[in-house]
Amino acid sequence: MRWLAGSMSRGGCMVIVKETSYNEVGKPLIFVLLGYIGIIFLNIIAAYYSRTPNLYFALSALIFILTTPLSATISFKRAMGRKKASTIILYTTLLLILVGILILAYGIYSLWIALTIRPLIRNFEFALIIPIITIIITYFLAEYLEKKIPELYWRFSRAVADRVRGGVSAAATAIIGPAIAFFGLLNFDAYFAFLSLIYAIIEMKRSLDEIRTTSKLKKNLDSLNEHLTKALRTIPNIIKIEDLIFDPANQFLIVYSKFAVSEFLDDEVIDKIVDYALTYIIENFGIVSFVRIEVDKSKVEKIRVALPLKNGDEINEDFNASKYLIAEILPNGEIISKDIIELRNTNDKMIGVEKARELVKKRVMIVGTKKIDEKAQRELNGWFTKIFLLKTNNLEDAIKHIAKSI
Amino acid sequence: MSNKVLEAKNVKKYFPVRRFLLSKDYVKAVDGVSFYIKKGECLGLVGESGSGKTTLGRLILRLIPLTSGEIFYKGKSITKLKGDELKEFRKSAQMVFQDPYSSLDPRMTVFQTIIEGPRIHGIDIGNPEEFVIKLLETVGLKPEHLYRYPHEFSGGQKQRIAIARALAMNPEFIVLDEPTSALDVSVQASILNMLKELQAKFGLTYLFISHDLAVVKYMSHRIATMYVGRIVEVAGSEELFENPLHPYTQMLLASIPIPDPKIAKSKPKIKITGEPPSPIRLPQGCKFYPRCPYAMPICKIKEPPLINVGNNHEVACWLYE
Amino acid sequence: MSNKEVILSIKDLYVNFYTYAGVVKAINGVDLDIYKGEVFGLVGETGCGKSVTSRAITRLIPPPGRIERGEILYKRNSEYVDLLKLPEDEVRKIRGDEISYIFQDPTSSLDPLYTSGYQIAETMVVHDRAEWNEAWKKAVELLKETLIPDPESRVKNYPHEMSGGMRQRVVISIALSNDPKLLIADEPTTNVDVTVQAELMDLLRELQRKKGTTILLITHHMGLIAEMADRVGVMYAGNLVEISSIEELFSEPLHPYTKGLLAAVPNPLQKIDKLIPIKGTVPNLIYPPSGCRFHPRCPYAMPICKEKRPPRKEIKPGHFVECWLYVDEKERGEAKNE
Repeated sequence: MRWLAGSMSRGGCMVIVKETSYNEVGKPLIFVLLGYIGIIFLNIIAAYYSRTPNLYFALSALIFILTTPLSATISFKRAMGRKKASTIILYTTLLLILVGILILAYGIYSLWIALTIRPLIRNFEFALIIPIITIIITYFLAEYLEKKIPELYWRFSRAVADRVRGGVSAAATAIIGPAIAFFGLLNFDAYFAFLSLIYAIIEMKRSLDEIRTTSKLKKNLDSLNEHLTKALRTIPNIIKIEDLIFDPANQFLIVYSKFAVSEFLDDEVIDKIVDYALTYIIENFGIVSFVRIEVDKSKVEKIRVALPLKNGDEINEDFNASKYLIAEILPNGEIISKDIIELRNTNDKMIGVEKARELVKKRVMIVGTKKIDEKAQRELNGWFTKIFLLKTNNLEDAIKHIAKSI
Repeated sequence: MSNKVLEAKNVKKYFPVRRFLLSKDYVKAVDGVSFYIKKGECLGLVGESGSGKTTLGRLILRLIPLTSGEIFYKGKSITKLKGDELKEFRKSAQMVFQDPYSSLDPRMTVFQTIIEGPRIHGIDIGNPEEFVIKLLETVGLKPEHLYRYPHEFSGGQKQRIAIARALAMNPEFIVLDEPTSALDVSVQASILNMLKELQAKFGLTYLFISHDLAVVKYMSHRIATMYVGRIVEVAGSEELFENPLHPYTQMLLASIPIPDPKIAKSKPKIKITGEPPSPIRLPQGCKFYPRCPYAMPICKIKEPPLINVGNNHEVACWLYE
Repeated sequence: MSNKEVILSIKDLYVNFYTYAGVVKAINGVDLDIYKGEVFGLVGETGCGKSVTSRAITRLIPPPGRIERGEILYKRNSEYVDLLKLPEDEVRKIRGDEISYIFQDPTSSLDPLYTSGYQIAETMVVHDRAEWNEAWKKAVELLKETLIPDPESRVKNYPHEMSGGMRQRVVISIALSNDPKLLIADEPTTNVDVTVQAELMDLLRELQRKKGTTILLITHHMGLIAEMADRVGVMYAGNLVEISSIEELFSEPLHPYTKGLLAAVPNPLQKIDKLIPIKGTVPNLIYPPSGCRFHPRCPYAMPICKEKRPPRKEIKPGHFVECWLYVDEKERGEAKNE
């Protein structure tokens, strides 16, 4: 996964920014969108020259379908202020639906004429060749999209590709009438137009459903917020969540998140936190089209430290102990609160690891210990809790040492 | 220089699944499996539903084509073998299936079933009757069984016939896919004992696939645990049971009902949660993440590689890397 | 656990199956007492008759099977009724309500055309335990108790939309919906993964502890019995050859078949040099062996074993066995001369 990563210096705090890659996701999306718009133009020409209701219906179906790749691409807009993206998407979707309905209506009118007065179809080449081109190209556009977009975004690429693939059905239903009419039975062009009419209505309903999804998502914003906040808070060294914006765009979700981590973390560690946040969001929030995460480092006012205890007032030789001191300290080393907890293990093969996990659940940011088993160390590091190796047995000395080192 | 009878490198098998509207999805039954089996060894392959162990057994014998990866048999690549060369390989590597009721042709007598392989491959076996009778004796059946039909035998006897059929080809390597799962406990014991004797007597190499850890431990020198298409741990049998490293292996071992009430009631209660997922569109990272009590953020981002941690013990878990 | 109150007593049960091949004498005189609140394990290999026995309890034996004779005394309210003599509609009221079942294959236990919630609620409504509204709510509660994630949506799922483990949980919910006094679980986890099995067994144990339900657990798996059961009955070829507490069964097995079974089971925690099989095969029950049905395979068989079926003896309190080895010489001699 290559991300657009940048560290921008902003007022003294280092900022890491990562967002969905333009090269990996945006470019294929734009390519497919343009290809699809090209197909629409071809169909406009075909409808104009062949005058068959079938192609009017196919055209309206294609326009309804366009709402999905278009909203997907717009949600990829790179400017800041994602809030605007969803409004633009809403308006364009409504506009497209309107246009589609107008064409549909015109198609119904011409169908009525074709049934009651005379068949309208002419210039068969347009009515036959262009649907075939449509079938082939929309199929390959959809396949291309699913192949090119990285696996991580499969829900997104599949949602767009599935809709784009609808172009195949639109053209397939539209070609039957003209094909039969080609052999002389001109009336059948109108009879079979009902098929393409039905399909166009199906696609209209799908586009309307997309708008409904948006309002459903909008209603749930609070619970999305809660969910992500809880998930981020499982990492003790994420100290402040500054901004969480969920912007529903049709069936997609644009997510923007800004949070602060303890300044004593190393840059590689922060990088991993961001990767985790990105992956978590993409996999747990429905169909995410675009994510952007900004992380700053921030001074921690209350640092939560854990130390393994021996006899209640000395530091244990090894990380694995039955009692731990969890203290909140100020940056100058002053202890504001103390708590002693007992931890027991259930799995004798994973003793240190279990205790590490428990400490992380208690939101411990730093662990001070003289010795620690490899697995437990990896578990603590895995949750981005910093480990300080101590030489002293004395509690106060240890805490002072930690406060000075950060 | 190595006595590896079988070696698999990054073997993958994806089954396409049709969705509506012409699009395809893939069931990643086996997703990058590497292992080896030494001559005379029995490698146990353990896993639950969706682990891919059965598919892997079939891939090894080239019963189904690979999506990618390489398989080496006695040092030579068999991945792309065709025609006569494939037939040569098939002579030397045989399979015994789980269900004796369906793996024997009900319209062929015992004699016909066992003689079929050598006949097709044009192997010279001397006097056919003597040949088959000798094989029957090897698997504990009697000469009078020669011209009987499968339905006249019990499950255990049918499985013996299936094993005799495999032995008729004078194989060096046998894949046993749940060979005793459909059999009663007492019958299972005699079949397993026989398999062990045959291995010692003929220097056979086995791949023993089963979901029953107790049976696998009894039969195997080394055991590999599979989870959703990947090998997550490999170690010697004793070592795996004494020192399971992967959280899934630990969960598996903790789930085995122990036939000893004293131990059973005092077993440490490792919390067993969830079910193995179905191998379509799995999330990123380690596949065991949703059920793992020690899961960390990196487990969600990247899949851990299978690494050697010493003592011939391999494990795929970020706790050890 | 067992306060010595007998909740179910099977006496002298004989069941035959009249097939084209002949009469299968499937159950050959079974006597069994189950105490309230305990987990009783019925263990044995294929064809031993454990499933048939369990189904005979509520007369679920379809033709060509026939319950030839015997009594099944069930403590209903405060008196004992013979389930074999009750009219069919009375038994139907008890079945699914006071005595419920969990079978091996959850897929065939569930109706594919109805949602899981419907099937759980239906059990309650049909037995007049609740109205539909209440029943639906209770269905969600029951699913929650089986630790199914997201029970509110699962309730609306059809069986084919769920995994095997989840279906079995639905089956458990159905079985427990009417707070049965006796739950009969026939190989409930044979078709399910071993980790799911462990979870379901924990669940059953938890529920049993909370509600005090009596469980009759039927399985061929010795490990499962060791973990779940308080007392065990070992069946062979239609006979109940040994009954004891679970600890004593493993530490002091009496019947030669039990001993053979234990020696053939691999214990993963031990280093086993060799598993010892039981020689011979399970007998054909159309022409079963005379006398003790195990005698053709028994390493200790004596002449009388071929002639007469051994009586049941209580060797230690609560430990019963049907074997001539445990009958004193005098009695043996008397039996021979009869």
